[in-house]
Amino acid sequence: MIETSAGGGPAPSASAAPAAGVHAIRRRSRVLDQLSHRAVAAAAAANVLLILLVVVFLALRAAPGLKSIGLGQLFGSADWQPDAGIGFGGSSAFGALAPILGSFAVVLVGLLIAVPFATSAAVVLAETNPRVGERFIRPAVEVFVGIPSVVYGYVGFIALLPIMRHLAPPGRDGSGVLAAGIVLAIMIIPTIASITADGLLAIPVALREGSLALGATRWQTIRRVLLPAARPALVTGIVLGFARAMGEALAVALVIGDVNVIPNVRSEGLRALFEPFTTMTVTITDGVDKLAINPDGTAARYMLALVLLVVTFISIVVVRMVLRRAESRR
Amino acid sequence: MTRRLRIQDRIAIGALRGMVVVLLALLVWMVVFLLVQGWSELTRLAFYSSPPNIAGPGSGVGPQLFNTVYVLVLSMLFTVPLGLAGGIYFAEYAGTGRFTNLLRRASETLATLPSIVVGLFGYALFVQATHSHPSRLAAALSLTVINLPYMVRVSEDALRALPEGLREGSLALGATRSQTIARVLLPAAMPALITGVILAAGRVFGEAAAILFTGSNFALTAHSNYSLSPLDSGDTLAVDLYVFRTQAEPSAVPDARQYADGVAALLIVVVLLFNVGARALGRVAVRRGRHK
Amino acid sequence: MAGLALVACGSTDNNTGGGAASSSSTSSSTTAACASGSITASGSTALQPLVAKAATAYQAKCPGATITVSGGGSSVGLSNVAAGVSDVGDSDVPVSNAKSIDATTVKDNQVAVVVFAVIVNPAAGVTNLTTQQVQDVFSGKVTNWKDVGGKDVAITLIERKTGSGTRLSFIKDMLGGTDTESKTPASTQDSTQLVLQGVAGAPGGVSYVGVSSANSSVTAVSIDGNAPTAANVTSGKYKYFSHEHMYVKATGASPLASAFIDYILSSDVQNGMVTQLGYLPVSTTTEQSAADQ
Repeated sequence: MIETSAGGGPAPSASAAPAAGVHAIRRRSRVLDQLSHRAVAAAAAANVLLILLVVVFLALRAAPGLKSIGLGQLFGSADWQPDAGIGFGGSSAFGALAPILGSFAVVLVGLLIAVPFATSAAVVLAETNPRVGERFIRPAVEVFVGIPSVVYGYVGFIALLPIMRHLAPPGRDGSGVLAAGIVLAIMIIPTIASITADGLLAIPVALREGSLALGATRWQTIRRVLLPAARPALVTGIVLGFARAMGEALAVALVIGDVNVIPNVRSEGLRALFEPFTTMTVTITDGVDKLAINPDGTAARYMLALVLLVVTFISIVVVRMVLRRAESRR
Repeated sequence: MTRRLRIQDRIAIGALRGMVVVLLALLVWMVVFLLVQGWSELTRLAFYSSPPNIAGPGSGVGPQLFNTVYVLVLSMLFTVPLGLAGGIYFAEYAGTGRFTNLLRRASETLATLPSIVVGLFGYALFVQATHSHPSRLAAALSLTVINLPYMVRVSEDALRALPEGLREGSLALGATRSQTIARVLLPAAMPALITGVILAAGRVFGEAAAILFTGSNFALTAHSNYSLSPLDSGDTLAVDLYVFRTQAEPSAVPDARQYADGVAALLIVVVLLFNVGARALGRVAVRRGRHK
Repeated sequence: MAGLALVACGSTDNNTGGGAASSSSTSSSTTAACASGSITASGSTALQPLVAKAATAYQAKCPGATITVSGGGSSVGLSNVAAGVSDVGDSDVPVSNAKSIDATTVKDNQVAVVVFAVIVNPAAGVTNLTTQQVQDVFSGKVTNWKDVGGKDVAITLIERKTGSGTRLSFIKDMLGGTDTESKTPASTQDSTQLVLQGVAGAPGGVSYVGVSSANSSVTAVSIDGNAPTAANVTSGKYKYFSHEHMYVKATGASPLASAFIDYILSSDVQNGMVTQLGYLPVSTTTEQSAADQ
């Protein structure tokens, strides 16, 4: 890339140019050059502007809630009745502990399922079957990524729920934490797999060959040399998958049951996986037809949106830290 | 190598491969399942021309198809110039200083935003703050927020992939930087850029959450709506799947399930087409690039 | 952002003026005059099939009219019409139940009688329940159908969300006015479609819907030996019903909205579409169920 100072192209030799017209042309082009530089810089700066706008407008909409609801209630209470104000009785309550815990629970289940599968795909793609990998796994990953999330939710609804119903304890209809976790897992496997695969592919061949030359099996090499070397990529993939899963709304909404009660993990153990639950994104979606008519509930939902925003920011910061540490190690 | 180690190796590698096979089988099954379920609707011509019918059988996706293309094109009208300009900046002008770092980080953050958060933002800014209704313009602008980072990255990559010689040659001939970019680099990067635009379009084609909050009035209109005004609301295909699923009353719409199957199948078909198309274009671009 | 026009919100502004809208709303008129314009009706999912079919028929008759129909539940419909977001608010229960709404700002039109039923998956083997049994099932006290005379199948409870008029009617008519529904159902749903699928999909599924929405995949049980029929409603033996309301703004309502409601109240529709869809004409009974109060 050419490193020239801002505002002008390289000045051609300022030899005597006979006609004043040539100077004029050069001046005009330089002005144009400056203008276009500013223009594209402005366009790039639009990214910053947009982020600021997002934060500002979400905060504006959530501000009334900060006063009337308060963070203490939002994070501390599990009594969540955001639409009771326009409903038929009962008083409004804005304790969002259930949706917040639900988001984390469902994403955790999703990650627990996704990481083994995604890592396998990455390893097979990068190490054991690269040719087959490039021909089948990468295109498959691209198709996976392209499928709209509503379709995943829909397939979950019509195909996964009946299966879940068989596995679930009696009295449950199959929708719940595990169903949502499975749907999310399928959605984030491509993300984790492709980032991890790229990380594996970036490892110098020497490391691989060295390990094999020392007598290690392929599996030993993968487990003891390659995966640790690709850890930054794996962690990045997991964190980005986490962020994507936290933000998923419609796919989860169709299979989670939407009940604002925290399952009693202590008394039910693993069976709590089959309990219906809710997430921040699901409860925000619930409010889509009440945005204009329920100011209190809407403010509470905007507060949850801010929570999601903060979670996203933290994820990005974590990824940067991981990458920076990996860089400094080298 | 001991026998035990070799057996462990085989089992482990086999397990890894097995998991991948399960994954691929799942994908294939999902696509086939949806296509089979939705086949009867996909092969029904009226499916593509009629509107959704909330009071009887025979719903179609006519207006939704129109709205999907409309919102997509409208959003690309904003995304492409802005994203291309940003990409040009990062590829040709930006240094490695703090300002550039800030810009890059902002772009990354934008790219990681959950689409429902963008939907709420879009509602707050494009609908509420302007005292207007959900509209396809608001939806298109929200899609731009989602897609801008990707377009910037695609443009930057396309330009960076060009050989240095092009730039140096042009500058040596006395062109300014902007002239170089406009007359030499952009045309040369055109195939990659076009592929990038198609990929970007594919990414937001299936977007539902953001459009649900900004462009759809969350209703199944009882009226076929092919309006041209960007200020009118409208459902896209993905939104339609969700809204129809949750709104249609079964006693009034007896074929609600088939219809939803059809919409899901259509979404899959379009995704596959996008994928195949973008790959084919990518190959053509590479081939053309080689000839130059 | 350049290019965003400021459009005043409030769907009443979209109306292009009424045509020759009939000002009388007597239910004996056999034809309603055509108005034109664009309105939205939202709210009750129990009434939605009738509103949807009527809207389609009206638009076929009157090409200048555009009627957008959506659900959301009775409370959303009431809030929508009070806030001016919808022209018509459909509700299973009177506006007096919505404490946040000033009832003087909206005008009531009762258009039909909806009969609700407790629906059960056929595999549960139940066709009749006493009121007490219904209360026990929905409060979670009873967890298996065999305890109320059915087969040995676990009860899968599916509830409506709290803004549902069907749910409020259930509470008032069947639960004696206090909400004792279990806080831990198998799931809560927003619309009739999802409720029906939930009940039909789980062998022990149970919930409540308008009889007009139920289909053959579920069993509508009798309560205390009385089936959910028109005769039993008229005679007062079956108590789980309510009058359906379509509210409009008290002042400044769209002429098309009034004309549309007149159309639904016309005898053609009352004796035809309404009964075909499984509702009862509004004249069926003047007796008020608990939900009507």
